[in-house]
Amino acid sequence: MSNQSAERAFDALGDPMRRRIIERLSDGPRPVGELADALPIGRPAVSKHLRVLTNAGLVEYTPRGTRNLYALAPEGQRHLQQWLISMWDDTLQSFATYVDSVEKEQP
Amino acid sequence: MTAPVRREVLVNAGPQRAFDLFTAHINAWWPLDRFGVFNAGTVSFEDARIVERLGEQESVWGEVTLWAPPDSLGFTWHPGYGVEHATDIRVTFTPEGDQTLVTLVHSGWERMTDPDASAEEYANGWPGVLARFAELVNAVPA
Repeated sequence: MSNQSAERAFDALGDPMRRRIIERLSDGPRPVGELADALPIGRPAVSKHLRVLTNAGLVEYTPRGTRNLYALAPEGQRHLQQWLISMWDDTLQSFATYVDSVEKEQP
Repeated sequence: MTAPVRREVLVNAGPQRAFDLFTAHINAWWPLDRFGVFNAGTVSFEDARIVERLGEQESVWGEVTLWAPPDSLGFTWHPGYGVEHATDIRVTFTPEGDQTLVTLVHSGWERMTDPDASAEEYANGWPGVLARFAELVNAVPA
């Protein structure tokens, strides 16, 4: 996974309505209409948000007859977890490097 | 329930020294250019808080909840967002011969979930990223 896809995922989650959609989908897969009923925005707006979430790898869909069923993409979460882990790894490595540098200066 | 994130690093100093450098010298090693609210300025432990400063601006990243040198250090973590959504960080310093194993455990993700959280809480940069991460992982059933 590239850093870029994590960034796309975070950017996608920067919008409150998209976070509401993610929360709805955590209860299980839903068609667009059902999501729109539960949110203060219309169906076209929900579709637009779903497209962003899908492109960011956070949501996936499966065709069910004439409509699509949207669900959380399991991989989406893994990418974000990896980002967090790499953030702490970078930070702790930076600490270890600093300890080395100051300890070497000691007589 | 979201599992804590646990990371470790071995450093070339004893536990007391490592504890001192981690806290009193955080500004010397924290990669502020990549991980910070302002991404510039300074970060330090001030009294019982971790504070990032840039000019007149100030961002409190967290409050110290445990100060037990040389073994362990605990603080809340809410850089760039509200204290009500603070997560918890525990850092332990364990001797390993001449070295110290520094273990960081980041937990408390359940407090991040708030459907009514306003967009303002999600500041730019990595603090917002953490918040969004937590919200997402809490939303995904285990």
